[in-house]
Amino acid sequence: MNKVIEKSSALLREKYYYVKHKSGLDIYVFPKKMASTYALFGTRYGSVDSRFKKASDPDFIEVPAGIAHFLEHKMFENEDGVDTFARFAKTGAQANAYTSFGITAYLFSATERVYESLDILLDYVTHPYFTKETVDKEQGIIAQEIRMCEDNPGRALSFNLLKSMYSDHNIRIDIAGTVESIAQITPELLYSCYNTFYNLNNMALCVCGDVELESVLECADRNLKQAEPFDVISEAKPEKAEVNQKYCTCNMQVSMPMFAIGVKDVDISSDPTERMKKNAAISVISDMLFGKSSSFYNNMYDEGMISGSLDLWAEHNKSYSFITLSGEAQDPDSVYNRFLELIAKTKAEGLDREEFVRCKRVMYAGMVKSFDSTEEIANNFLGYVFDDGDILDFTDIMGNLDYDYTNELFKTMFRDEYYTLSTVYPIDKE
Amino acid sequence: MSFKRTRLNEGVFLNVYDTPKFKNNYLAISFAQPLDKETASMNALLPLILTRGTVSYPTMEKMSTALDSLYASTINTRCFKKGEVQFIGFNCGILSNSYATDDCDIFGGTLDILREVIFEPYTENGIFSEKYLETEKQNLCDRIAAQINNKTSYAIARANEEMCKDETYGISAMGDIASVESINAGDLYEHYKKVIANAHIEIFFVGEYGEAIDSKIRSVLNFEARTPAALKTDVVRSASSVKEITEEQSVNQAKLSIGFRTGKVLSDGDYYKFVLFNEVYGGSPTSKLFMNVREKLSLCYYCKSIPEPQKGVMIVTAGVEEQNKEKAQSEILAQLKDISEGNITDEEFESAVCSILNAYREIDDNPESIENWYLGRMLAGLTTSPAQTAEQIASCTKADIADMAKGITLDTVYFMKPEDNADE
Repeated sequence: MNKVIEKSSALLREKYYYVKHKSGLDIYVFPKKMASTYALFGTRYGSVDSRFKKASDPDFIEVPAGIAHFLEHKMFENEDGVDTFARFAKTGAQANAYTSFGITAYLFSATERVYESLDILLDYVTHPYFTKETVDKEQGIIAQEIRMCEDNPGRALSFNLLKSMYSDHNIRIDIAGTVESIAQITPELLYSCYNTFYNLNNMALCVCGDVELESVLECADRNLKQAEPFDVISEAKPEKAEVNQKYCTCNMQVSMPMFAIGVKDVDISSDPTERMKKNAAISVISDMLFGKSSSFYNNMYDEGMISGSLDLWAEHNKSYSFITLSGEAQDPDSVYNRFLELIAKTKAEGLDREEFVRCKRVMYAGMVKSFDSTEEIANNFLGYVFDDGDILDFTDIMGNLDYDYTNELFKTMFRDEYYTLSTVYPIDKE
Repeated sequence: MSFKRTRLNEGVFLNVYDTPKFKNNYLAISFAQPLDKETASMNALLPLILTRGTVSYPTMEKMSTALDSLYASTINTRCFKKGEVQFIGFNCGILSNSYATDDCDIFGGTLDILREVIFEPYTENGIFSEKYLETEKQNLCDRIAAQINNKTSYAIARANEEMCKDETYGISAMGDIASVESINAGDLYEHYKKVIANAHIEIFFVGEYGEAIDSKIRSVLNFEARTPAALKTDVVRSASSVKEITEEQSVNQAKLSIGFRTGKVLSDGDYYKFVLFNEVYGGSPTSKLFMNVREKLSLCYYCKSIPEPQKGVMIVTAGVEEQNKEKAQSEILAQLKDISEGNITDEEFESAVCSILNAYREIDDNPESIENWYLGRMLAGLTTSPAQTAEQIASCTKADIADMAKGITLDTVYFMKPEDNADE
């Protein structure tokens, strides 16, 4: 018998079921009366896992940059020659996959024949098939994906920012790798990564939609065999608190300069609840200081210093933590100076209490709004699960966030040695 | 769920998609007018200037703070074209009142702000603020110029522009930099009054409907009757000759965008056959373009076909190495010819049908997709729902698809290649 844990949130009027399946897999079913069911099958394995070993192995193995993403592509090929997309096409499901710094996930959305699609998902992700020939072919396709990304100035801006923030952490390495690094990938290396990280004890399945828990579990029973214990060590290099470099710039074909300011943070708790609390606080801080209603943004907009909106990105998980703000400006240096002035002023005066309350309300509304899409729910859900947190707890943690904690955090997080500026300038045509 | 379209006044329509499944209410208002070079830039500027400030909220910061207090309600500007019709206006995301943790009337409060945005903009001396106008003109010009930042979408837009250079469709919905720069506050204010008085208006609500919401919408969005200009699109059914355009840009990867005249538009009534053709050709990861140009020949990461249902044009686009241009182009054309000769496997046919039926059912989960569906139908004079169209698609045959392919003609080949740096 499977032990079913049910968890609900009265505030959000949502609930989910959790089962630790006998295969080792964590299964989450999030019932939602919508047309589309979204299923996400992921592993705690991403681009940052470049040196690893099983506990019993004597030595670490080091793999080429971009291999987690390459492996994700290759999972779509099967021994019988039938492409995975073609298998899903028979049920009408839309299939896809993605690789991030810490997660590789395979997914589909479907309005009918959901359990058949779930069978396909569980089957193909647990059956790797790599040959020299298919690896060679993929090198051509991924090389074009990398080339396409090289022409994307927004991407150059963010990756230069991460490289400036971090000295040693693998987050500096491009998720897709380089044309040169992927050329070193072989079927043997792919199997080695697969066998290490695609262990059901290291994975989770989240299904959100108009589905029955029992039927999802039947799919798991049909397709999954019990996995070996998971005892892998993925090397995490120690990272210093200060940024790697204060400034990084490049020239690309853009209509006006782009900038990104990063605030690095290495103070990460091993307690998941602490992390969720800090995550909530840095989201609030970032919105208060730089959000659409902030004086910082509105003054610069009024003065014509920036064009359009500012993009905010606040991350806090067990592997990395930072706040970034980015946008377009004729003179990025003057925006950076405004940023420094804002921090100095806010440190002297403290965060505004009234704004704090308003921003918490904005965060609450944003949380509730994110429960209108099965895709958004499943993706957010898995993000929390892989950081040992819980999406339903997060709303309460946000609601209980107190001013003093947040104000103290602001003061310790914002220091000169943690800032970096990345810019992309237009190409000078002479 | 139920969908109801009501005429509130002559030229003013309210569309209500009543469904309990969302925690957010969606409200959008569109002012639809014929796309015209003389007015495109002014139209594009209007939503931007109107959201800069109102009588009660004279600055963006004040308006934004007020919306934050209404549980982060959003009023987003919109400006797009469908065929040769330009749509401008706003769409709002409004948390359902039942999720307020106090007695806040989120919907009512947001609509009061929207009313001011539309009817009571911030003015100085009876016209738009010169200062606000200058900032928004600059922002719009920046956005127009920024299209080049995304090479993939830029290459698609350039192919459309070149293909329809002498037609109204070639006009960008964002306007052009020269005419944006020439706009003054007085003329724009005059234009604003004309748009409010004359444009065809479509209001869309998606969410849980009721008496309170109905009366709020009717009282706040209370427009006079009008006789709007006809919303029509000139269709060129087939290409007369093939245009070849090559441009050099500072890029690593070359972009190929091939423009076709499809011979079919939504108002034809049997457009659903074309929808199915497109799915087989280049609409999915099991389409002929994806399976052959990408998977078999390994020439690209993406290769897809993007049709425009009102104008009857289609762009096939791929990012390739410069030296592979001819190979990719001939494969793209060969796959089209293959379909016109009826070479469609049972698997390809069934996959395409399944995939479209799935996509049509998914529309119900997304308010913007629902609105987009019915706006398109409105222009074509149709009222068919996704479910009704799904039934028509299920009745199609392979011969229907081959017929669609036969009606397609090649118009323009646009190629963006990396700059020649031989002198370095």
